[in-house]
Amino acid sequence: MSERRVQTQNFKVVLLGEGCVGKTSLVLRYVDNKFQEKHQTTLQASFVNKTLTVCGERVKLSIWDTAGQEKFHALGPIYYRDSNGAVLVYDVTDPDSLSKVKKWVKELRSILGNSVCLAVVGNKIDLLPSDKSLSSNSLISEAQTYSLSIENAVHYCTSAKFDKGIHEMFLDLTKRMLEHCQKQQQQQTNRSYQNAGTSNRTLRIADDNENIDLSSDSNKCNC
Amino acid sequence: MTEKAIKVLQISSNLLCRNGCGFYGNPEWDGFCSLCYKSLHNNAIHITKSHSLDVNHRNFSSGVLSDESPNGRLSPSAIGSPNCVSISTPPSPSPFPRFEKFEEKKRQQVEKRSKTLKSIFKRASTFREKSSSNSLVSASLPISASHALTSLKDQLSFDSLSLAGEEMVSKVMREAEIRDIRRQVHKCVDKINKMNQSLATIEEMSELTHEFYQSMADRFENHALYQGNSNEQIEQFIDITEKHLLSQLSHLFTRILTEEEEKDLDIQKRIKSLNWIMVQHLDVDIDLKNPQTSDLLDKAISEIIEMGSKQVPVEKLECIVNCSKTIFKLLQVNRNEPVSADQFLPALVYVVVKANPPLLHSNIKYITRFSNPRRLMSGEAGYYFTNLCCAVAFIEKLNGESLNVPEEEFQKYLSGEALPPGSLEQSAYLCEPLRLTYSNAAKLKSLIEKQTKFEEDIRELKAKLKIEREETLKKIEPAVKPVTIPKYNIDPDIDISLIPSFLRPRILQERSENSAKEGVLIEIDAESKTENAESAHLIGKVVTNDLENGDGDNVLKIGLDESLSQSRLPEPLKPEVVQN
Repeated sequence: MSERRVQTQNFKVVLLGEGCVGKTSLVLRYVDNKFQEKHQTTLQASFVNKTLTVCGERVKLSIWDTAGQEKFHALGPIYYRDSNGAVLVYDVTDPDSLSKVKKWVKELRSILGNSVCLAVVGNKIDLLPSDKSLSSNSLISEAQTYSLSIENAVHYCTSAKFDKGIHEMFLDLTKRMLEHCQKQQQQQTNRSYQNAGTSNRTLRIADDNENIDLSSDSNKCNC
Repeated sequence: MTEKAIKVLQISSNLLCRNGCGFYGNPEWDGFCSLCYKSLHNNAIHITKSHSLDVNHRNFSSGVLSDESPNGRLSPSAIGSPNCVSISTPPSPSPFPRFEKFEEKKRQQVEKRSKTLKSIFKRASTFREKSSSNSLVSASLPISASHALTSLKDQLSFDSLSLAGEEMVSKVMREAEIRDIRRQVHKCVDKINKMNQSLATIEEMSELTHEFYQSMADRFENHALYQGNSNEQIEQFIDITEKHLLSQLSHLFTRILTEEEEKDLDIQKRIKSLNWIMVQHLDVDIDLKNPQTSDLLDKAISEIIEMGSKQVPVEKLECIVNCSKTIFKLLQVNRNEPVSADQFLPALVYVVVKANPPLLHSNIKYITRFSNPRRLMSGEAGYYFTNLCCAVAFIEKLNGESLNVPEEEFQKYLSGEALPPGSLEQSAYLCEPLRLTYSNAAKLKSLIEKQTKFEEDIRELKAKLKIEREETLKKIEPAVKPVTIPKYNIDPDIDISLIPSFLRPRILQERSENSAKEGVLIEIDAESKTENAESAHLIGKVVTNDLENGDGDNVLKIGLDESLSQSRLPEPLKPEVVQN
């Protein structure tokens, strides 16, 4: 009974992208393929849970699809509050969708800071002529250099139609989020040692025979 | 005990009225006769009234919260007090009955309270936390009314515990954990209540609640007590903690309601002014004429409205999840592809606009402030709740552009000066009689379709049957045709005795038929006698045979001799006979 539980990390990932860049099919491809036997008739593709094991850690990804229409653009911040990662999807045949991605990145950064792990994803590579290499495409190379220029972002190419690169993309993103999370935890523990005792109002959970200790409150209860 | 004692006293002392008026008294009237009681009662009534009001007030204040209100301390002693007073008020009249009356009332109230407590506890005992009420006593509490009440509750709990039986056994394992949760929750509730009294803001209390959730999560993670539990159980503990905490903090919701009343009304007004919005404005791809769609829309609307009536955020969230699931179904009518957020959010906006749920803002604030942030951050319920927040934010900021309507027109629609074309028609889809008509029409249409299809099927079946029948007939024709038995053309003149015995009946039959046709009745016996007719048909060979036989006198006689006649058969006939 005393064996250690496997910790499950919960990560929230938001999917951002313009209307028809294939966000939904990306998610469906990712979730449907692997758990085909488990998957019942799909009612919705807007909220999806997926559990993976990465580097010995159990990770639960909650993938939140967002409405991509222009009129809902302002609502973005409500969606990506508290998210650990963001998948920004653009259409490799549509330069406009990439400029939208840049907009979102700016917004994400201003709200969540650098803590959020980004994945810039060029979808629909199946629509490109197959004889040329992907990097020769001007839009893709632009996106690549763009993602290099921002912190904590990696560029991927995927095809939801032929199931190319999607699993790799999510796996890599999960790994990065995990690393980032561990780094943050370390920082936090360091900081909490420094800040111990300085915070004004804390509620400490007391043990059975201990009094509840409320620093903001001088009254103690009688046991 | 006390009641018995009173009865005994009264019966032994006197059955007559205590006023000594000569009538019989009644224990119901405190031993007075009805007349004396009334007059006494009328005198006393205004005094008792003021007293009882006081009592009521005290009971109320001591029952509500676990403050250290000194009034509350009365209640335990109040249970005991009536005994001594009522016993000490035998026959003597005057002011005592009044006081007794007052005490009686008080006792009744105490009893009532303990009864309701009992019933409350009974209800509570169906929950899994039942056993943990024990812990409340051991938990450190200021000695107050609430303490006394909980100990009372506790005594009662032993009864229900023994009743719980096997159910308990399975839960014994978790008893300790739940007891611990309850204790922690209780401390937090105390703390928050104190903050509430010292007029802390909702935000401060919300912060404390979130800290509490966090520290509880840490506790589940690290405390020795919880080490043996699986992840699922830990999840359950987190749920229990939240439910438990918030069920005791529902007065915070009331506070939010009063604080946010203005905003609630604002959003309600706003949504009301947007009532004209049509599915086309939001690009929601649903067909309201379809009765199935409108039914689902109704369901979603009632589910979102239901949210307001729930007390605990968890339940409110449940309503939101149900509503969202209904919307998914709604969007999937006549379609099979999974629904994406691009379709879902506009539909949710539409549902919210059409439902105009009351106290929307307060509900959202209550959930965000006091629900477990982990639940809101990552769970399914969190996602739908976020969508609802988005929908509300969208509605608040809505302008003409976001509905693809020119700003000027939008303002007109908003002020109610004009209505978008077709909006009346569309809103009519939601009006009951028309909807009934539409659904009936749809039903009729489908019935007609079925009918025509049925008719066609019948026609087809008929044609098929006809063809089948012809084919079958063709197939079986040769079999059905009557078998023609080859006739032996044997002259009637030939003596029957010359014919093999197994052929005889047939030949005889044929002959009789033939003769019947001719209108002549031939009798076997008469054959020999009608020589004339026979001789007219003589054929050479047979004749010779006949002649060889000699006399044709007695046919039957000769016919009997078979062995003879067979050997004498003419040569050409022989093979035929053998073949047969």
